[in-house]
Amino acid sequence: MLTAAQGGAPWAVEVLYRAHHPALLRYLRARLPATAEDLASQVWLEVAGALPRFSGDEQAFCGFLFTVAGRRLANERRRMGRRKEDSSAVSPEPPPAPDVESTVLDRMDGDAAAALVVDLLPAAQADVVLLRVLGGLDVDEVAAALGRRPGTVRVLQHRALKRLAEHLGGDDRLSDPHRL
Amino acid sequence: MARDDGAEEWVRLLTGAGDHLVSGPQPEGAEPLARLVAAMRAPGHAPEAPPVELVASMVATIQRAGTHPPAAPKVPRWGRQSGVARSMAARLALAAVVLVGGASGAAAATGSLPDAAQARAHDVLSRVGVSVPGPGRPADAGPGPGAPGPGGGPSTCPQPAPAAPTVPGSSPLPCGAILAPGRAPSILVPSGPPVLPSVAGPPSAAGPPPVAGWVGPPPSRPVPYGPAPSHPDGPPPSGKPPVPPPGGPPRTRPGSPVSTPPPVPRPGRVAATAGGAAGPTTARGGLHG
Repeated sequence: MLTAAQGGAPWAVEVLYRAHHPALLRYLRARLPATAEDLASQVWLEVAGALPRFSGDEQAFCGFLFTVAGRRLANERRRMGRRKEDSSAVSPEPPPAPDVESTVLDRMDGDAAAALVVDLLPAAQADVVLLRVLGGLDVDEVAAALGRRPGTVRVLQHRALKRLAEHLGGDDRLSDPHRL
Repeated sequence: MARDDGAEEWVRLLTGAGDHLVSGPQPEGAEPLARLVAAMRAPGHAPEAPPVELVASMVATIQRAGTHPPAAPKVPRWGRQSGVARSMAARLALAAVVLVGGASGAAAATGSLPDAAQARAHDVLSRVGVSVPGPGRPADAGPGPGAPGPGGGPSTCPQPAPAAPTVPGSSPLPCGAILAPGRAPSILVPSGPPVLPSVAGPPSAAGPPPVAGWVGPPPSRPVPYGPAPSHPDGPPPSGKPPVPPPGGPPRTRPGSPVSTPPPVPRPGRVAATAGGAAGPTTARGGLHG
């Protein structure tokens, strides 16, 4: 299917789109809800331009897709001149976790879950979590997509997990840095 | 140990093992997190049909990129040269520079350069303390103008050229001498107020025309060979000692008016010299009284 898409077969391109567009759109909506649709189209066109030279399986293609999306997102945020991290710096205290987390989490759809991650985490940590979970990228791929070192990505991921655990579970063990 | 194992499993949540947390034993705080991850990974609502325009654009882009691969960036010709070739070229250029520089230096040291180039080399190298003969001067002709004088000290006045006019029995021209055509060089001697040149009156056929032989107080600073007073037959104002024509001393045409303006002393200097040799004028009023 990927080979057919690389040859320009419309049906294969449509299959690729159907398979990966929901996760891509969820990722972009979580970061920039206002321009997610436009960004997704730009990402797909850029990926299509590079598709004939792509080599790898479908998992690698997923990583490639989210890498392009991450770069597009970074460019868009840079262009807008307003990052989520700045707003978190203004109000360092994270928003309070919902009281009925367990019931909400059971009924939460993907977009809401991604939005919750973005709300609870600083921008850099949220980027790592979204790319790891939604894009299925490993640490090295996330590092390449974000322009960071793999060690930095691991640190961001660790802090993101601690923070999510603090707000979602309230487990003291998970909030203890010496335990992790 | 169980707590550490649970924490370790929880850390694996984002490394692809998130689903196992939901099914297996898990720490208390990891369960909401596992639900969150599961919700994020849940397949969303697949689009009913992808936008036709977007798919068409993607297909066109793929076909265009496949048939026309992006051109490789142009690399300059020198950029494709190997490192050995570039190193060899650099060595050859350095050798050429050394060769040309050495040859030029040797030619300048022996005075073999053309006059203009030799003068230039003389000026430049004399500033850095390298003795290089001037133009028209052989390398072994003795010290140059900047060499120490007979008294041991540096000569403040450039020696005239060998072809300069000399008066029999006189020493070489001192500083401040002004050569007038047809007369011996007059020396500035402080002997009263300056005598303005007399240009009025008919030219005498018996004697030489009045010449601006200004005799006045010595200047407080050495008068260099500056531009000589303009004269039709006088030396050109080139800052060099006057050089007589090869036929002998300069001759003046009888009856030709001489318009040699004397140096006009400044008012302060005239006032200082009018009262006699009272010393230099200073701002502190040393001349008063």
